[in-house]
Amino acid sequence: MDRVMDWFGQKAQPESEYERVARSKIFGQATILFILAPICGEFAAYLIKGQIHPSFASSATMVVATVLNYLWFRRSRKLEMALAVGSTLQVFCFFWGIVVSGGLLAEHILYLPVFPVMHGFVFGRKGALASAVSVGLFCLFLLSANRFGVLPLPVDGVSVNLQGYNAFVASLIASTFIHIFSRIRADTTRSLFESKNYINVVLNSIHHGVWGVDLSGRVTFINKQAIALLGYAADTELVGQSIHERVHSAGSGESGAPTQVCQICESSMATSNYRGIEDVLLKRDGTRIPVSYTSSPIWISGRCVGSVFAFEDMTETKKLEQALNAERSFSVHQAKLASLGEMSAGIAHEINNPLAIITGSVGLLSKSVGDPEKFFSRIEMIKKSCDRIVKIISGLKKFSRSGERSVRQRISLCAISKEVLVLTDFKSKRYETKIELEFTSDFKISCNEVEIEQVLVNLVNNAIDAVKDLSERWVRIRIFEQASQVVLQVTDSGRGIPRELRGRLFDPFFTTKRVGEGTGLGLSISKGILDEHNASIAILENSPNTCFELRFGLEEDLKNAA
Amino acid sequence: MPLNVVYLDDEPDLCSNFSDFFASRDVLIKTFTDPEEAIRYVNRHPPDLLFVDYRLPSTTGDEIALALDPAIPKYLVTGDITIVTTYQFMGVFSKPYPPDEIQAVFDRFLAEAAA
Repeated sequence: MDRVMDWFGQKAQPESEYERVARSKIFGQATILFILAPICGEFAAYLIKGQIHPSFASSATMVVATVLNYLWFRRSRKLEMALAVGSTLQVFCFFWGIVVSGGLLAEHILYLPVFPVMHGFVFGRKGALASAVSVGLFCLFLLSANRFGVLPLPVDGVSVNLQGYNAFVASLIASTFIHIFSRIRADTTRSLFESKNYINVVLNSIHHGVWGVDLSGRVTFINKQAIALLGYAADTELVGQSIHERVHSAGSGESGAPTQVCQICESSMATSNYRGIEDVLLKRDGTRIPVSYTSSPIWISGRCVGSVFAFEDMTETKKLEQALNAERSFSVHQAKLASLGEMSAGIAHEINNPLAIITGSVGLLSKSVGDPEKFFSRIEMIKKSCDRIVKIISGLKKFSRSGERSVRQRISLCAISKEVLVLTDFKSKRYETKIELEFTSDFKISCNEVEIEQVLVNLVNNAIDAVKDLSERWVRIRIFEQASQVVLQVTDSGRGIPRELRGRLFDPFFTTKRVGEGTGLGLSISKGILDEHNASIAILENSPNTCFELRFGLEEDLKNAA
Repeated sequence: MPLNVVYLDDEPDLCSNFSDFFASRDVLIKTFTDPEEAIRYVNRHPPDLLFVDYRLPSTTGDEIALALDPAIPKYLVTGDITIVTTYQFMGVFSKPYPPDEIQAVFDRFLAEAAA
């Protein structure tokens, strides 16, 4: 390929894997020609002479040697060496054929035009023309020598003149054919080269970093964006290098990931696509950049020759994600504080009542010393009141826990709902709203308990607010299994939400409550929390009452148990 | 003459404690957990003093006070931190209330009655 580049005055480029594959194909075709040519030559000689010619041995040797040479090339992939050996074999066998034939035969002359064709395949346009000129000159020499009777070798009596003339014409035709063929090939190569240039321009215009690797994980090409993102000055610093050793490192720890566990190495050798893989790359100065990459295998003629990677610098995205998470945690916490503020008056009332019983009973204990029944009855009263307070405080403590991203656990959705009833008890009493909890089984879901509790408190509080002015006031929490999902419905005695408002219900700051009664964040935050849990929330369309339906994935072991 | 006192609270234990704590030869205490029953009783037997809880099933101490004879001295007892009432109570006691303060009210009324 360097010769082709020189032909057009272009700077020689390192031969790529694709170009090597292309040349290998040509070599395969030339090999077929190398095999067919002597067989055809011998067959022609047999037809002319009516018997096997003495040069058959040299032709057979050439066929066998050519086949062996090609098989060796398939194993070693050493193209240049195989070409040199193949060409040498041609010349060697030709002259050996002359020697074993006992002199120059007319058939040998007929064989000469094959050389430009073969050399054209192997050495390109220049080689073909040089070979054709050489053959022409050799034929002219033979014709001249025969005319003057000074041939250096004995002949078999057939007209060398005629065969020499034929060979001369044939070699002219062959050289013309090769010239045209080479011209076409050169044009094709030029257009390939231009296409390659165009593809390079396209690759360099892509916002993503792109690199290609061969099967051993060595870089075959890399675009400008990748070079810039990785902090290198030129592609020469990376082309030919192991991508794993130069730019890949583990997500944590100081040393790079071992090759055996390196996903980029694995992707390089894979014959399938990888999409959206998150990893960390090492820049030249040692800093790390989070990236997301896709990789696809490169197929040439049904053979995978490597992979192409396209990656995106995720530094800014990660920063935004972190900021978003912080903002979300803050919003969740704010909404929680708002709920706590709303509940605080009720909670104080719920605590003060048992506290009054405790203080009163303690004051009366001294009066009951002489009456054991009365004494222990007061002790029991104190204990019962303490339990009431403990229950309220523990629910409150859990609910008001800071917005830390606690680990998810398998928690009973029914247990969470019961705690929600404690937290909303005051509000339900205050507005005389009956709250019912129905469940068919103790469904467990993998969740952040506090967050799911917050969602349910929001929904129940909203439900109570929605029905507090109605004559019929109730809220029902139902938990059941449907289509391999745990379904939790919060239904209230209201007559549903107007269709025109449904689309905006989960928008931040949207509220139907009076000013000062709602932040408008409860449902949007609830939806955010449920999204994070891969759960859904929707308003049930066909319910005669207002019904919010939450769907959670059923735990695998629970499914198996069922 | 003993002082007739009515105490209305939906917490039975609080009613029982109130009665046990303050009932004496001079103070007769009648407790109720049901507002309607209390109203019926008070209308029939107007007490010398009424203590009423604020948060009651289906009503409030404020509404009870408005529904009863304004001549009956009424005190509000509540576990709430802040409340706004329409009725002008003679006093408001926050739960848990100090027994001394309640006792002081009884003593004052007993003294007034004696005078």
